[in-house]
Amino acid sequence: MNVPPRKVLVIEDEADIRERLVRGLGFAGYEASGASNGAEGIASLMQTPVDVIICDMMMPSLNGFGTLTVLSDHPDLADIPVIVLTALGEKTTRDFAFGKGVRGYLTKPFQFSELVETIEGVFEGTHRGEGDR
Amino acid sequence: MTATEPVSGDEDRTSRFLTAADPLRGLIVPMVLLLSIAVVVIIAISWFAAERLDHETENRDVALARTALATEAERLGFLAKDLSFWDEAIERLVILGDEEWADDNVGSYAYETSRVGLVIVVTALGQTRLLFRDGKPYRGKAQEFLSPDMLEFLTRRANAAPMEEPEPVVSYAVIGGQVHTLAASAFTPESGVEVVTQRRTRPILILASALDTAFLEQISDAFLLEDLAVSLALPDEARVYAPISARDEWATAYLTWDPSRPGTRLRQDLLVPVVISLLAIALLGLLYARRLARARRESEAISMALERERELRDLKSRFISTVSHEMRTPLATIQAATDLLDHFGNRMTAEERQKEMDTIRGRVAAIDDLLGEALLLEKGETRQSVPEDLDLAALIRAQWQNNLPSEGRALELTDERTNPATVRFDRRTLNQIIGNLLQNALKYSSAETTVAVRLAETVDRLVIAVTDHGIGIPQKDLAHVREPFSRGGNVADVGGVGFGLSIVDRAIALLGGSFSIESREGEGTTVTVLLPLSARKEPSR
Repeated sequence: MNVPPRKVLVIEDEADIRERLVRGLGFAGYEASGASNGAEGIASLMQTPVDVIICDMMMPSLNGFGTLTVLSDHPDLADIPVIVLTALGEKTTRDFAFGKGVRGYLTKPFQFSELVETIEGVFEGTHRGEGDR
Repeated sequence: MTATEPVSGDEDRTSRFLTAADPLRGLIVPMVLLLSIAVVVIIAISWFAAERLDHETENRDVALARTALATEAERLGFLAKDLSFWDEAIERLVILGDEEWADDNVGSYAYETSRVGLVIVVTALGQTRLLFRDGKPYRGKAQEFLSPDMLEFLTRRANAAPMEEPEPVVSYAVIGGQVHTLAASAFTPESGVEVVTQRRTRPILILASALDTAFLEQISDAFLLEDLAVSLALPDEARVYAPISARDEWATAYLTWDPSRPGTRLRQDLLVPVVISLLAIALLGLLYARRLARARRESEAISMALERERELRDLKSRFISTVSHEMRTPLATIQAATDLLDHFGNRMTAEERQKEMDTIRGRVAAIDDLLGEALLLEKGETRQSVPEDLDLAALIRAQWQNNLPSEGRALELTDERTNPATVRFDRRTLNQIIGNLLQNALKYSSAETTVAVRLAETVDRLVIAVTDHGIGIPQKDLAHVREPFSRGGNVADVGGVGFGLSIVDRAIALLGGSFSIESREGEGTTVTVLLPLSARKEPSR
């Protein structure tokens, strides 16, 4: 089985979390990269397309709301599945995210295994809209 | 969401409270207002009506006086037409010389019963043949009483009447200082005592009746005119008058009397009640204004109290939601670090594992700090202050490197103190001040800018100035920076609770110092802290 690793982009402003996610996902067999805000993330996606995006909501510069909007409106990026990872658990935020077509929604703090499960669910096409804890 | 529900509940309660106090006030005030307006309108109408009443009464009185004068003229004219009597009188006196009869009959007929003071007969030739004065025969001439003009006038007008139907002419003249009504009638004596030579010229009978006291009393009683008098000159404005004149002539005199002015009397009678009712209305208005003002003050006080309560609850609820939200980030970091160790610990070096452990400890400490700060602000909790000698520059560097997200950022530390010896403060309090100021400087500026800390000294004060080249604080938010949860309007999605400067404020107060902020939106912020070097304030408890 010489399958190339799946590519994951982590858009998260908290370096502590971002770095650990990138490293953990690396250990778990993904090819993970990080971006500290939405603008950086989108710039990176234009260069290197990925298989799944993990996106925070509260970020400086371009936040999660803006990022999700840009992603869903972009013809090249709209098809990349997005998993939201945020401290915002409110229904309005959740509704917004699912309205933009996200495939998973995890609230902080979260377990790494949960995240991996959600990613795998997305790839299998079964894990749709129930990334809740 | 939780914060908004009690808010609407309070509003309901407020409006219910006000409605409960309202129904009386809501009804009484417009009613009193309406009544007051009605009273004022009625008073105004009566005021003008009173004036009109005076005017109308005057007009009526003038009409009555004219009627009285006309009645007198008519009465005299009627007497003057009774030519059979005068025929006999002339015959008796002129032919028979029966003065006794004349005294008896003319006296009673003309004078006593009819108030005719003067009876004159002028012959066709213009001579006076018969004269009575005050009921008695008088041997004199008509010219003694009447002017030649008047005699000529009366003769001419009386002669103008048809022979068969003598029509008396009425006029007025002043005789002996007194105004008289005159009636003149032309007649043909049956006995033909006087030779009538020309058809159109006949003897004339003239009767004169004085408008004397008796007459004035009589009409005063009949028409209720007060203080009646006859005036030869035009009376002054204070009196009402009717001109005494024959038709088409200038007034000979004026009948005058006091105006009755019932409207004015009505006004005088009304004056006291009107003043009282206006005063009452004013007083009532004042009372209601005061009552309304008091009610408004009360309701404002109530809504202010409710507002304060709401703000407090809002603050608490915001406190809980922001603190819990702010804790999720370090918690997520801890979770991520533990997961890394748990799942992939065997693939990590000992050094990497240690770093994860340190991160976990650091985040736990951060949560502890956050909770500590929250409690400090929420309950005003303080620890016992433990002053110790501190190397300020070293303390700042340690904070920068160990406790802040300062990776890749440049710190520019300048020490301008002449004697940079150690300072003596409570370490944790000083750390709170420096940590929060540096944290803010890092958080609200971009990665490529530097953060500058300047240390200086005045005679008795330590100066710590922290400068960044970040987003700055909007002018309108500067006044509120010391309040917990207050954050600049331009923070966008930079995470934070809004504790920083309120913690700094409290900590500085604890050390007996002060601080000031200079900021320009988009250019940067400088916070300058002044701490007393000599007198180190101990916590008050």
